[in-house]
Amino acid sequence: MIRIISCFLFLLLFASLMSCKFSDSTEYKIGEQFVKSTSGVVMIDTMKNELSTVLVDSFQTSSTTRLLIGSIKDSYSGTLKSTPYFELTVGTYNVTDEKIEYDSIVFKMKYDGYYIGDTTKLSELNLYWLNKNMKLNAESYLSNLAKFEMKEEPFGKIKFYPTPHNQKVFYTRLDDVMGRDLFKRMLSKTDTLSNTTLFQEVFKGIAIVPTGNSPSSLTGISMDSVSTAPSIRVYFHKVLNTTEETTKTYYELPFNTSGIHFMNYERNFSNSLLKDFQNGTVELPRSKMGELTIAQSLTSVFAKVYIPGIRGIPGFAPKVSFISATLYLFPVADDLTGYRNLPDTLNIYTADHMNRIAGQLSTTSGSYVYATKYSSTDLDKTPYYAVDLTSFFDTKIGETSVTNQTLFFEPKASKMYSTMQTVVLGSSLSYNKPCRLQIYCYINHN
Amino acid sequence: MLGVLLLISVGMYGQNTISPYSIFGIGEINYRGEGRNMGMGNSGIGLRSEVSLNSLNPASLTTIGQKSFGIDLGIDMKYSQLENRYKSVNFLNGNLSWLQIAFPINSILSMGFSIHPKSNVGYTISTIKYLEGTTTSYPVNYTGTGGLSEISNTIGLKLWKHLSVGVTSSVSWGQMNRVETDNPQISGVTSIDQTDKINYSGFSFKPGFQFYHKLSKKIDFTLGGIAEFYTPMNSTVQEVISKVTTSSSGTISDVTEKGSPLHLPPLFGVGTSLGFNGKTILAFDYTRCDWRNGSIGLSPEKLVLDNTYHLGLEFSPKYDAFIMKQAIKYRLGASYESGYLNFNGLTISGYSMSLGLSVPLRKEKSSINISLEAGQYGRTENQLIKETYAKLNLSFNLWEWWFIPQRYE
Repeated sequence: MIRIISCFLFLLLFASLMSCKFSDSTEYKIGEQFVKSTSGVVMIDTMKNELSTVLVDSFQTSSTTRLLIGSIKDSYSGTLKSTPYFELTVGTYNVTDEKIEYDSIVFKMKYDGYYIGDTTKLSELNLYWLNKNMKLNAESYLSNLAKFEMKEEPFGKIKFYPTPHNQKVFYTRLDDVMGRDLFKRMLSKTDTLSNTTLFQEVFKGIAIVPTGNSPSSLTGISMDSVSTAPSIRVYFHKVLNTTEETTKTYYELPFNTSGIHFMNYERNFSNSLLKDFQNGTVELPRSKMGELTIAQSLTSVFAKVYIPGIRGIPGFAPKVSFISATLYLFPVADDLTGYRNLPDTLNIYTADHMNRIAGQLSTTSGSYVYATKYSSTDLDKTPYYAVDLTSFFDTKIGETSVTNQTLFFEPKASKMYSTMQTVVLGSSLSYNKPCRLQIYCYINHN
Repeated sequence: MLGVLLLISVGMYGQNTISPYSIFGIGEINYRGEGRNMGMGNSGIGLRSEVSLNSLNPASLTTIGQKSFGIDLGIDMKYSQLENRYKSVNFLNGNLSWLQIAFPINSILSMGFSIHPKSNVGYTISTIKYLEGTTTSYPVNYTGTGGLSEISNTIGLKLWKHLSVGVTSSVSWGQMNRVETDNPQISGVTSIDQTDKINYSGFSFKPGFQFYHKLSKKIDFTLGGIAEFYTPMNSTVQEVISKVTTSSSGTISDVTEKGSPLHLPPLFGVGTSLGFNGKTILAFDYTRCDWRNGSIGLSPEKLVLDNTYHLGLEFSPKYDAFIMKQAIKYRLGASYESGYLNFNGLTISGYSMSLGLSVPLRKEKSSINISLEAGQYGRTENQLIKETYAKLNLSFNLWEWWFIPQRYE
């Protein structure tokens, strides 16, 4: 018996060595008629979505890296006047026994290259000292609606034709009365110019207010560094012998980089496409706007896409697995510029049913999701925006209650809240809707 | 010890086919027979032998001699060529075919146990699908692996000197994996994979009888009959759907549920054999299985009545059991299967020819059986597939005396 079991074990070992296979092809790609599959990928592009234009009334404009000066009239959103507020601080100059004389006082600004509007029109600005020091709100910022009391009379008036392309420094002569006063304080080594606190007890801040009844343009003023940011300079020269050349120099009150600065935006939607915002409305369905939807940076006007049925996707069929979702937005051409000025990307924010923005849309790994501009394959290469909303859908499908199911779109500007860009969404030629939601699901009918 | 060996052998069954036909039901069903049967065209319902086990008819188990203990182990080596009208592919594999033990309980009752692969699944099919509701197509791959194993208990009872009956009770179980890979050409999505792990289990019951009688001094006659009945093959299905993207992959659904049971139809068979001078045996079997009464996940019109015919011949030119050269047995056989699958009016039928050899070992009853079967299954019309194969089987039929104490002088 032992002998037979030993023999049997040997045979088993032999059999295990035989249990192998070899094939000259890993796939035998025939037999498709044998397959009776009851599952597959389904594309759904009829899921309900609603578009509207939403005005977010208040938004942060403090701590931006650009100051916008001037006013503009836009056919979509009406008139916008931008009034920058900022603080100056004390400069440094060692006054010696040398005899010096006052020359002039100027307000210095530098274009940062950005502008919107008609720069061939005259821009008029008034410079005001503030009556009170600025204070941040409870959330430690200032919004577009914030205002601070100014002195009644401006200390300077600026009339100019903006030349933002050259990105050069430009100067505006100010009233010499104020110049001589500052020069005198400098010479007398007054406490006012000894530190920022004492300085701001007197010089509490500056507002650059656009004037005139004809909005022309918004021009970007550089805030990149202390040397390029707005400042006031008091020019003087040393009194020397007549044979020597006069050496001019200046005392500068520079921009207070650690202080407060923000922009007040005064908006008037009258006689524009968004005129209904003027009476307090904050959301306009596209049916009330000639089937258009608008997204505009700077003015905080968002294109809102509401997708009510996301959490219902698993109920489409007994066995449904969500795969992906892509949203397409179709912009319309501007009468003057066509599609040329369309931004390349749109920021996307999630918001709740009260239109309160919850945050910027991001993937599960934390990277932001944007809508990107593409050119269609049509002959006219009509542009469109597309965004992969798979991660957003995955999150919403998995939630037990409805939260932040609304998406807000806004042009992605290089400098947020200080760059105006507009996207008007309408119907595409090939798809008679301003928005197309393409959802892929895997459905098993078993 | 034998139990452990059985468990080891269970794990030895691997993928044994690449036939797309294995997508149906429980897969490509394996023939159940031993080395002698394979050399004789897979006939055996009416065969009896004291030196060979024959699982085709449980009644044949009563041929085991008193105090004998037999083990039979078979190994297959199969070379296949699958072809349709456009291309062909070759496949070679080897596998354990069966493992069987048998022993007598008393003078009229015998018992045996066996294990073997019941069915094999192994296919890769590429086709296209359409995005539902669109005219856009996308490629889909189907891959199947796995199969069922079967463990059986056989009891044979000698009722009368001319009549034996027997019954084989079997348990079948195993897992089949079916992977559907959809490549829907969605931006960022590489594929959607649906992996179905289907666990089947079921019982079968096969009674049989054999009537044997000497028609004359030189002619032995045997008539046998079998029937095989199956309980529904119940299943549980674990369905996992995963999404593979260009950057990651993850499960989007994982559901385990009860699957639709498979109903294998009953099989009936009769067989007869005539032995001449103990040297030559001629055998013939007929089986009938009406798949129209079955349900294996195919639409009913694709299942038809399956008839099989097996013819076998065994001879030993100068038979003398004590002279090895003269104890060698030669076998020859042929079989035809009308087929149970029908596509567009074309039935998937098959036929084979076989040659065999039995070489006795030094022990009186032990032998090595070698058989070579060449055949064809299927057809190439209507985009169907034809399999041409050659199968070499090697089996070891080992016998030992049992319950005989060793004597020492």
